[in-house]
Amino acid sequence: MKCRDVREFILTDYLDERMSGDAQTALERHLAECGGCREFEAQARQVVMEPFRQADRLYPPDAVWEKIHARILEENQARAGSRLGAFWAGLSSRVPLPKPALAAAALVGVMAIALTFTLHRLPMQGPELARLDIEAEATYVAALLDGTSAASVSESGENGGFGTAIEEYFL
Amino acid sequence: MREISEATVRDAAQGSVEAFEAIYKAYGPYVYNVVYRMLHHADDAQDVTQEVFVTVYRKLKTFGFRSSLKTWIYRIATNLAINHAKKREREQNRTVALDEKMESVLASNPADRADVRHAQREQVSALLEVLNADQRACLVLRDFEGLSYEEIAQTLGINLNTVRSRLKRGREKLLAFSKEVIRHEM
Ligand SMILES: [Zn+2]
Repeated sequence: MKCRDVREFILTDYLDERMSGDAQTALERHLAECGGCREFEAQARQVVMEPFRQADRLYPPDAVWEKIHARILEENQARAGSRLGAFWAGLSSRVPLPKPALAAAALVGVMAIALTFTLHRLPMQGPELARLDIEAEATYVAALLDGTSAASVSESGENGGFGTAIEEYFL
Repeated sequence: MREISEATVRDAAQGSVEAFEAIYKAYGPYVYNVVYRMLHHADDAQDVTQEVFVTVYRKLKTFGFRSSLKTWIYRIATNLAINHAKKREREQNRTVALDEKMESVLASNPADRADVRHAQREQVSALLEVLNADQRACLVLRDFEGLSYEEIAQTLGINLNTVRSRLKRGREKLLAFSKEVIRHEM
């Protein structure tokens, strides 16, 4: 075994304990005879192994879950909205709405948005959550009538559309 | 770590917040560690951990139980962390100069014995800054998370030879860098 090959093994399979049998015997025989490679092995252990093995494990602060929690609740609202939206789109294509109805729906929508944001700040449980879903649906319907898409409602805000880029990345 | 059942995954995919919280509790610390070691800043690590779990939540319906949930979540985490690291490197006009990195490692030398553990931790993270994002991901998964070469290959979607050569190149760089640091100190 040449020193060059020995050192490559040391930095990979040997220190990661993936060697066995003849290959390991040959490498260890080389180490017994070659001071330079022994020195290299000691240094490699000290520089690329020990500092990492001794490192502390880190824990995310609670705020991380709180933010995720808030965002998946938003996500659930958007999902509920798009289910109703599909139904509504099907319905409205067959039943044309008169103009005053449209304006009224938009007004309801604006109120629903305000209500959604207010409720959103409060901790919520079962019945409240169900009511919030209805508000989200109302928001969605209003947005549809307004000519904006549901996606722009759910993606705007703190998210800034970053989620969409990630979605594309993983497709 | 608590095992996550298929039923829990399905419930979470259906929108159960409790089920998703169980998944976060099981894997959140793993994700945070990987992402923190990749990015070296707590703020970035928290933001990216958040993105990871929102992505997991959105994609859970497509999880087919072909790989382990842990590997799947690690894959999302490393992808987002590598992207974030590369984006940051581009913004910083390529990687920070080697001199600056050396300064940062030297500055984190434990002069004060009482703070020795914290200093060691800083030094470890600073050391990883020398590597490019792809090499860093391999080293983090191997040395902090204890993944096998096979698991790293699966997580990063690369072959075994690539895992091996990235580990080799990364560790060579660390060795070369530590020699430079020692020369600086003398
Ligand atoms: Zn030798």
